[in-house]
Amino acid sequence: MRCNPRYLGLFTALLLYFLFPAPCESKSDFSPFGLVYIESNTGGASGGHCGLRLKSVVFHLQQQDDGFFKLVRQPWDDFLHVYNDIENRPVHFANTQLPSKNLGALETYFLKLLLAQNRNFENLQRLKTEAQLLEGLLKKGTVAISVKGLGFFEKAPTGHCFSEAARVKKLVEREMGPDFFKVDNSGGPFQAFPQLVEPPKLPMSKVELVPIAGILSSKVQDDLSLKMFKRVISGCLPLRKDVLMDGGPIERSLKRRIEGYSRWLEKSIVTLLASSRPDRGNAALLQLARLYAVRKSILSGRLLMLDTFPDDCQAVGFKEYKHDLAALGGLLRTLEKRLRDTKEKYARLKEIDQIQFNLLENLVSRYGELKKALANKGPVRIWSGLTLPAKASLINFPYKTDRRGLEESLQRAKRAYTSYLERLKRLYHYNLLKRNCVTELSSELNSCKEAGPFPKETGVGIPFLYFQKWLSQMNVKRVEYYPSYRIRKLNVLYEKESPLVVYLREFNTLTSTLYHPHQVDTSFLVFSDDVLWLRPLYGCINIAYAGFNVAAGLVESPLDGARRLRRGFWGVVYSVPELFMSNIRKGTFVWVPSQ
Amino acid sequence: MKHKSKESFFKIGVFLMLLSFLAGCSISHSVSSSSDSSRSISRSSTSSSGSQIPEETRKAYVKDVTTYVSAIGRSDIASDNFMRGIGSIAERHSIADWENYKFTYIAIGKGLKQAGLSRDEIADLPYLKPLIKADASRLKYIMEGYDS
Repeated sequence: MRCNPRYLGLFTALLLYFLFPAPCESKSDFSPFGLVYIESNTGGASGGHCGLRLKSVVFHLQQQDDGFFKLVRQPWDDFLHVYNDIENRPVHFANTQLPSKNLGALETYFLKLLLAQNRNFENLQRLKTEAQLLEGLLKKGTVAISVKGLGFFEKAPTGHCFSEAARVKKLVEREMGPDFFKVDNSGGPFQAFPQLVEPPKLPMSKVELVPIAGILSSKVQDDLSLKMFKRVISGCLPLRKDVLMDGGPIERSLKRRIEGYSRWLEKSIVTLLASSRPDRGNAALLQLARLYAVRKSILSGRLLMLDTFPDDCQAVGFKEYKHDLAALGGLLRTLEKRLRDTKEKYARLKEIDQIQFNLLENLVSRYGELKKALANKGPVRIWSGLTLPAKASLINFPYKTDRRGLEESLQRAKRAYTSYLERLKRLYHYNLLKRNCVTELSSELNSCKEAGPFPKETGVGIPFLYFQKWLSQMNVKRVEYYPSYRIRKLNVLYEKESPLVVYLREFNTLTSTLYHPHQVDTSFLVFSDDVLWLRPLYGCINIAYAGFNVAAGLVESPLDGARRLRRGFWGVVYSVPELFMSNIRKGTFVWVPSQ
Repeated sequence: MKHKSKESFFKIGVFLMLLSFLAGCSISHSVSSSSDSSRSISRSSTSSSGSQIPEETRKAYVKDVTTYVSAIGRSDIASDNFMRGIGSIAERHSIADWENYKFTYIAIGKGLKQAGLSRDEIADLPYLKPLIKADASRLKYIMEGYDS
């Protein structure tokens, strides 16, 4: 009665293949393209998810923390690691043949969507800042503005000019002229505030790249960041100690690469200052902070990098992760190894470029943060993706103001922000039935006329059904099946040990060596994703087990904040489909290494 | 009576299965914030991993700049705004000094070709002039991208 996961996976793949036979397979290579279907599990996307693989990336739609439903581009490996490994969901990829011309058109279309989306949300932020600036100016006569990169430096001079600062100052003076630091360095009300507020152009569709809006706020920020750069240099302001993360010792060859990078940073600072790039002040502040950090590294013999965590990132407290210390310990060891490998790799390079350097900054920050948190039982800051270090500092800057018209400008800025927000709500809102990952993906695919036609989702967007539609209507060469992480590991165990012993040990959450119960997963006792006919029986067992936890949770509620009660309740909910041969819950992991 | 109860049992089953599919791609519940918290730590930590990242980032950057420039083409966009646009793309790919990064110009060249501009038009584009004027090698890279 037990269904070996190997066979269940094979069965699914064969079923899909025979239900939707593919035409004769050509032996010629073609770029990976097609629909990706991710099976259900507990947590987010519990009914499954869909994405579009285009070569080495996946485009998919996700509801974000701000409530908007946005297009996300994710590298394929990263996508698999999240959904297939950590979330332990089986993934199906319908590798589909599409003429390269159509594929190119589709890729360009999705990139345009992404560019337009980024522009729209940047515009919204600028318009918001613009209204805030005008409001502050009207009320207080000063502009409270956040200058990116300024937060890396001490606020006041330490009394003496350290050698590196003196050197950079001399270098800038040589390149830019001795008057460079004398201009606009008073810090007083030196100029009138520009009051021109232009109405933004509202996007008519998701693919329209509208002009940049809220230029006023950007201009003020650009202007102040350049002034702050001059202030940091002329005041010899050193780096703050708490902005550096320690990436361990550096070997001689890596030191040489880093010395090379410091020379490039000097060149970069000078070029930026001479440039007509409007935001050069921000970039110059960052490059200066990096230069100081690199010099400190060379002097100390330790890899000191700027902290890359954004100021507004979230943090997870010890109380929230204390149950998962073993998994996080494993993660720390992996990060340590990656950092060591990266350092060794960089030591062998001829030179380090900007992207490589930033990767190292991010790696050191992630490693340093987790190491410190685990050692001190403190909070861990979290942020997904690579970022440029950008510690901001809020400054109040006085401006001469002409109050006439300022009130009107403020009203105009507020109206501009509201109308832009309303438009974006209309373009990027989420609706479980009408606008979800399936309906939006289908709609965008069919909007790209040069690449289509593609299957249309006319009804409720159900990932599984849309995947079936894709298989039946598209030129699918093969369906690639990626079993979930636990099933893959189970298969390895079946080959090494007695299948009966493995099954009896791994079929339940109490004795399993592969899976360790943790807080995200609802209460359950037995895995029903690798059995078919036994599923209703397992469902009964899981309901009984979860029901017991509900009862115990009621008693424990005052002590554990109803945590056990909630797990028990959702345990019952997710066990009910098992009674009807359907499986949602597969168990998930806090962390597993990338395959 | 027995038949009726079987039928309703079946109906409930179908309903629950549908419900499980309908749960769609974004519905979520939080049994406990700690669970997601620990997992978010792992996602955050591994997002800087992968030996292919520098190469993939560069490719993605080139594609984004190409698409951006192809959308602009011959438009009369001011050079300030053009540079803000490139700066914003560069920041998303963690590139601070995009002006000193040759792939920026290669991507610009690719984008201009996609937009259907001729080689002769490139040097006269108002939004490119300040960039080209600052360093002659930039035009060389733009042409390299155009011809690739």
